[in-house]
Amino acid sequence: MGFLISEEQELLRGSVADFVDKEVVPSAALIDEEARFPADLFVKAAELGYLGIRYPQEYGGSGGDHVMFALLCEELARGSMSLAASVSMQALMGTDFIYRFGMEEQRQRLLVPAIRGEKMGVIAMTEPDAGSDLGAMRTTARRDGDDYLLNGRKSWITNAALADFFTVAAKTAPEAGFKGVDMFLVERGTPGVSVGREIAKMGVLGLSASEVILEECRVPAGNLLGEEGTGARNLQGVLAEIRIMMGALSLGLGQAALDAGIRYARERVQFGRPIARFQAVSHRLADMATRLEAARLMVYRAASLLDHGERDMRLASMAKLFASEMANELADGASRIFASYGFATEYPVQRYFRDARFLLLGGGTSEILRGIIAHEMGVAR
Amino acid sequence: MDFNFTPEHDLFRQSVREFADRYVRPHIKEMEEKKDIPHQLLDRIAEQGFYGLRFAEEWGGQGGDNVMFAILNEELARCYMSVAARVMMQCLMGTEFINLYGTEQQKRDYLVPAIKGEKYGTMCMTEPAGGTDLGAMQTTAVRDGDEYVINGQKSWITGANAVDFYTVAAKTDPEAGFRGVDLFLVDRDRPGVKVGDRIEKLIATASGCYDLFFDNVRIPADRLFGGEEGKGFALLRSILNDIRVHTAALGLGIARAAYEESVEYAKQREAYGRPIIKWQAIQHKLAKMRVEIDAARLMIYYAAWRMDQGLPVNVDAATCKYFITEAVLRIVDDATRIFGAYGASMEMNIQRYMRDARWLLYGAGTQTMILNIIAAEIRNE
Repeated sequence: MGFLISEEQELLRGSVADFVDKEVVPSAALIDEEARFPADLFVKAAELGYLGIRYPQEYGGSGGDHVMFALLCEELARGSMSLAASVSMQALMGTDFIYRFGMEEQRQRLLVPAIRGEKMGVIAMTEPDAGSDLGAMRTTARRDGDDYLLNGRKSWITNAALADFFTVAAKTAPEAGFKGVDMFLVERGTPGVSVGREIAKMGVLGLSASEVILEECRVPAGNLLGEEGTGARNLQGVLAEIRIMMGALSLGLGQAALDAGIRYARERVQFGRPIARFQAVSHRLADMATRLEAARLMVYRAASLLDHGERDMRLASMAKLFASEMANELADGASRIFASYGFATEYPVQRYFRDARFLLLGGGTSEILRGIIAHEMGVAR
Repeated sequence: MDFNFTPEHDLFRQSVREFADRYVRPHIKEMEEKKDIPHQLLDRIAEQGFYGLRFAEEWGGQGGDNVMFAILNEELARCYMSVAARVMMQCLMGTEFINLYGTEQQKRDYLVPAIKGEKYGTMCMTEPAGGTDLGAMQTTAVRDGDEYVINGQKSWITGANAVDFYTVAAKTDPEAGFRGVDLFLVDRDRPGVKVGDRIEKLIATASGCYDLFFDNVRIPADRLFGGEEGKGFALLRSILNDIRVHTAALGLGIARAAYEESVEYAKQREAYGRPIIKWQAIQHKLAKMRVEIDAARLMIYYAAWRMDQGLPVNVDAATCKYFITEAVLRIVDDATRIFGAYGASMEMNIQRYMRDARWLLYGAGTQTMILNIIAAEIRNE
């Protein structure tokens, strides 16, 4: 297996890194402080082709591969997790079902402008009583003539307040647990869909998480994405990608934390020398860097396998588990190096620390992932 | 709260240490090589009154409390785990059932000589079919007139070849899982008792563990502990806390041995022109060891003290055992790192601490089992 990325991939990484250093990093703190969605950067990301990186050129995308998507996510996350998470939602979960299962008319009307950054699409799965246990969701989709009627309440929906269209998970077979779930396109403005309260959170403040309420929301049968009864399977299909994506976001945050730690350790002088000269600090940085490298290899291997047509759920889950935990360890490590300044809002480290928690959630908590890995290994009951 | 040991405790600790340094330490190498503890040493230990430390003066014991017994275990283990394990078996598991549940006659015939070192006893629970899952045991005890007939195979029995009597767990009700287990007092010289192969092991090498076979062994019915069938598990449970706390004390002894030798070594070993204790990386390892030892000591002696006060101790016994096990593994690992290649040398003690420490992983219960127990207590609080 080749451990090097291609020239094309390196070029992309370099250009994203440039964009991040010049335009994202200077705004990241403000995005967080003001808790505002970085609309201007989102549009710029669209112009640079980031939102359509996974989609073919016929829809305005750039036809990039999984490794490229991971590189994009990593670099963006190094600058701002809020921006990175928003871009990756748009590039993947928020639009993928329309791309794969939507009708051409839907793709033209929604996917194409989404890739241009003119419309926002988000996925709505989680509910107040169904997070890790998605099969416990209570949102239903009842067939009614040529339509479906959706009823339920979704929670923690990223950027719901800004979304133009939702990919909603709802049960067409309520007794069937997770297997009864199907995916539906619901556009904003459809009677019966409304965005509810926003959940105040500790991190990733540049994106919002809100409730989405469906009350006898009527959508045409053509809004069912994929054949009835296949939703759960299709969702599984995209989960490996989501996990790799979360792994890549984790790499970016880890790198940011490490870079900040190195910089500070070189500058901060105590006891007559830069603190980097103390083994406690330099060894900590060495451990951090080592774990980051290990995580990076896992994430890119999983992405690379996908590019070769091999969807390895076990590896994708391991990559997400390892990288997200790594990001949290590195944010913690950096904050220790910064000591009190790791606490001060004028430094980014406290933001890395808060944002890192998000990485432990989306795509499966570490506990759920361990169960999945054990299952994939054939050792779980 | 008075966190100090009494002068009596300190004096006792001193006497155990002196005994160990004088009579045990010089023979460790030989005992490791021969994989045996000479009877002469076991006799000397008897002369010290250690076997009867916990038992009432009425039987020739010392009437010592749990704090004292923990001190004995800690100091012996600090010197040599194999001896400490054998002694603990004779002081506790091998004899306690007679002490708690035996008849007057049985106490006179077994406990009194055991305290004097004239007879040795051991506990027989584990089988190939079940270690953690004792309820899976297949050894049976069938009532036949005035006798019980015992059939089965035990495994990992400490000192099976060198004892005079066994406390054997066998099922009087094979269908009933752990509730069908009962405990019996069996003489070694009963027809049908056969000591099997010695199990070659890496850990506590001089404390031999053996397979033990019971082939239609007949014992008088009054050898059933508890007076009636079905009480075995309750009886066993009554000493589990003792076993946990005192096994933890063994672990503490090893931890301290590894730590103390590491400090000494770090002070005299030079690298790059200075004793390695001058390097922060080493200092911090020693500091972390110290933190964990201090914490473990408090937990263990607190649990022992609670037992002496007659206070409930299910949680504390389990948590202190869990804690020291995880801690001692870390401590001996770091100790081997401090010693470098000498950590692997058979001439040094560290390799033995590293091996013997691992006994904590299953002695008195595996870590996963202990966590289950703690969680069960939490649920019932």
